[in-house]
Amino acid sequence: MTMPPSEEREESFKPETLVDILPLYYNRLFPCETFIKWLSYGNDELEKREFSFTLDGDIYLRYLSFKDAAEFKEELKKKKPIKIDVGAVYANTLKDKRITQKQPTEREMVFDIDMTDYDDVRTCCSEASVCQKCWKFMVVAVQCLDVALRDDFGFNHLLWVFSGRRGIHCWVSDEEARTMSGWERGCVAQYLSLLTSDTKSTRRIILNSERLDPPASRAVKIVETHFNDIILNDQEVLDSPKGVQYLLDLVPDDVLKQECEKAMADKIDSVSKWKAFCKTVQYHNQEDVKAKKGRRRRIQTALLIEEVMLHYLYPRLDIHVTTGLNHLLKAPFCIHPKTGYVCVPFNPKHVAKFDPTAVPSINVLLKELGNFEESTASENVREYRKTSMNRSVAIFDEFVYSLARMKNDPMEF
Amino acid sequence: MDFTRNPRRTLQKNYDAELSSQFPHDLQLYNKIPKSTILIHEFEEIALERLKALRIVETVTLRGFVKFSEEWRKNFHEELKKQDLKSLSKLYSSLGVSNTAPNYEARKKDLISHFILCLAFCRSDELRNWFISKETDLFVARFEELSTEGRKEFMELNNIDFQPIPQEEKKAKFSRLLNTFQYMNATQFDSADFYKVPFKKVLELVRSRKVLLDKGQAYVASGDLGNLLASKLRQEISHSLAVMKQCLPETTADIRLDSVLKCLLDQYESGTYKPTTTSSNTIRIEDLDELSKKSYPPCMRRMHETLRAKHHLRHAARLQYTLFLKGAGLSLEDAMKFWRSEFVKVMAVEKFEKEHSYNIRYNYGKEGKRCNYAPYGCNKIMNSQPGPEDASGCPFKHSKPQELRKLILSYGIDSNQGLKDVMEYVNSQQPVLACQKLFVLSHPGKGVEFGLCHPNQYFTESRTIITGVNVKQEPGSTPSSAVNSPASTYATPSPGRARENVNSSSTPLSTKAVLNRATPMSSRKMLNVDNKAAGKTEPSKDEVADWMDELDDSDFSQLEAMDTTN
Repeated sequence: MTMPPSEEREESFKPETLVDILPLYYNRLFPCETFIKWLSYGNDELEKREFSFTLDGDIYLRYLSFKDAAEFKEELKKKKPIKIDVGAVYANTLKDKRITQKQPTEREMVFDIDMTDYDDVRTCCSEASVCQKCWKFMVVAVQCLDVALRDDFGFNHLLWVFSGRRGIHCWVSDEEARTMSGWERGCVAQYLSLLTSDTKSTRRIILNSERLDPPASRAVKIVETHFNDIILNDQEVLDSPKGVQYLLDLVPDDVLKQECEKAMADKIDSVSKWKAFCKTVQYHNQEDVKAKKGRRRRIQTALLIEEVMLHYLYPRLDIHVTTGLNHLLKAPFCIHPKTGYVCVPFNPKHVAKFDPTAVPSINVLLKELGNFEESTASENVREYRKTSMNRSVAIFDEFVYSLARMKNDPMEF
Repeated sequence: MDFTRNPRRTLQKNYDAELSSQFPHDLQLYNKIPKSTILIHEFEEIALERLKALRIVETVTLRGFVKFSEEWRKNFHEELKKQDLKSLSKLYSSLGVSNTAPNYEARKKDLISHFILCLAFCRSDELRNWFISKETDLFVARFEELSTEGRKEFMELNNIDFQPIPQEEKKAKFSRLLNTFQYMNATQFDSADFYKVPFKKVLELVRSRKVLLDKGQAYVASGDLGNLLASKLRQEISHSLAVMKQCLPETTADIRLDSVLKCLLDQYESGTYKPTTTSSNTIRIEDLDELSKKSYPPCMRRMHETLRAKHHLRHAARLQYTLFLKGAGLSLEDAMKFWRSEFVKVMAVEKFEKEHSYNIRYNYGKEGKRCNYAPYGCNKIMNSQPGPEDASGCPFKHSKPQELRKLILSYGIDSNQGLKDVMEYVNSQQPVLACQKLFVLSHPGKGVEFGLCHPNQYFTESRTIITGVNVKQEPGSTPSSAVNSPASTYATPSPGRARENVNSSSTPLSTKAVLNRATPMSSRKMLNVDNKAAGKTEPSKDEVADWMDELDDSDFSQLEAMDTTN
């Protein structure tokens, strides 16, 4: 089941050739200007911003800094990094080697969601491989987080990026977010993760109430629309006895657990098992109400169905990436050294249509560049427009220009 | 006849008047640096008292009570009284209303002691963070105790002017507000006031989803005002700490002041379990399997067994376990050998050398920033968020119940009652106490004379009991902490003492043991101050710097960054 179309393409990409073709990519396709424009935010503090290059042979260069896009591009061509990471803005310019105390002061608030964190609920692939079915987990994650970041926190400048293999990143670039401390970021991440850990069951999410609060209720609405499709039809999580046991372990009440097990026993496929499960839980909850059971008992299972759905599908954040101010994160438009895919920005509104297996890869791009030049004589076309990277660059441009508009000084920025 | 007024009485009256204008309320935001003379011994005494109070804030929370809940507050107050912290206890129980008899002296002490600790705790980020978080907790707890009038007065005095949202806005957000603040019933909700503030001001509430968020604005219920004020206080303290840090050259130049402050930090440190970070060579790879069964806390045992079974551990688990082993006394060479021997069963040797050996060397302070990282404490482990497949984290908090049961039983606990006792703590969400209970059960006949807060502490305590030899070596300890009497802290446990307590082993956890973490300074130590002042046992600057370095683990995230992004 592991992504037949991409396997083909990965075959045509050979990681060992990456270093040879990278200079061409950096010279002609990597959007240096916009990239640097983004990370300078219209001020002259670029030299305080950390970049990190990973060179072939696992050589890490940390605390690099550049004065402008031209210097950045020169270094890219010279050093040929197989990976570029973006770090924090520091209190002092990084070029001054005499300053050893490095105090990070600012950086985008970033979120990292990794497909491997879903391994317990995905049956189609595991570990690093990702197919179109897996991507749907990411679709839900993007939809849940995007709306929360915008509506609850009022952030506007969100850059969503496919990491090139098995994850997605979100760069929140509003000034409000960039100046937050590690602890403050932790609070936001905690709010967004809806988690309450508990030892009585393995559920990730425990709402501990009788009614959904507004953020949970919004999340449930999103998750509901995908649950049947992803969890029951695609992943068929309840088809195997192991999957059924997994679901039963999410039930906090032993009696209810047995009832659910019985109800699902004679059902064959995931859809009917899930229906039986929901019916049993609902019945149990109604009985609790009828029997006038205490609140403490009722809230244990009152929202169990919602909690279970959230458990399967609600975004699983790698919280450390978000809280660490000096944490490095792979830059957009990097080439993933293993797959050759470009780390491309995508539009969160159209995330459902995004196909991770159809992302442009470096060798395809360079071929397109060649083909275009053979067929067309035009000199005035921007380089990336000649390739399938066109759309991703457009999304990136729009993101950077919306930041500039906020600054109200488009000429300067 | 002499009609002139008694000069002494006038003086007293003036003094009272001055105090009442300076300290109009039981609670304060500590925004005025006190200017008065104080005797050096009083200086030290009130600072130590405050440190103890902050330590109580920490222990009560560690016991698993929900912060600022009624239980938490009751427990906190009892501890204050038990430890004889009179002036704070008085302030704590008063309602803050002006018609109750004011205790100006206590208020003054409150202010001065706060600033003395600022002087001591401004020295590193780790110290600062601990201080700020405990101080704000103490503040919120005290605010919660105030009566409604007391609160109102406090806000007026400090010019805090929160305007509740108008009725129309409340109506417009009716259902969302109602669903956010579900603990309110219909009548409570009708009369409740809500305040609208930027979300950054109430992040503590955002974190626990106790506010309604809308486009960056947070709607706070009037019951949560304490938290709102906490963010204001946090700013004030940050500011004070920054100011104090600038004064550091002057304060350290004053030898009397400096020795008292260092002593305070020693006291703080002795209450904080500080694992060794210098790698020694006291345990061998061959013994790990046996040690894991006898002396590992469950978190480490689980990782060890997962590693043996799967020959691989995920990143967070690798970090947590490597550092534990380092603290337990596994040399770098052995650590390399150990990890290699397991990992090569599932990967090529080259891959191991390329991807993992660097990280191990890094953790031992041999690569990168060359910083000697400290093993994780219980708090850090409990607050981590392991994924469903991770072997890291705290089993009492993060494991599935069946697995946890299996794990507990694997410690050879012979009674069902034992398992039940441990699970009771687990179910009431007190993982540290559950772990400590397990320690008692798996070391039968021995009492526990320590408040558990670190897996390495569990390990060394267990080794001490089993081998009867104090295995703990403290290469990094400062001279003064070596002088520190064993009776006052578990930092230097003595086997003899453990034996004395055989009878108390049946109690779930001697609360005494936990409280010992905030012990009064032993008289020997007091005397030690003078020695220090004479320059005899003062820790060298380098030692202090070393220790600060160890506390700083900000570099970790950099390492993680290298590892996590694909």
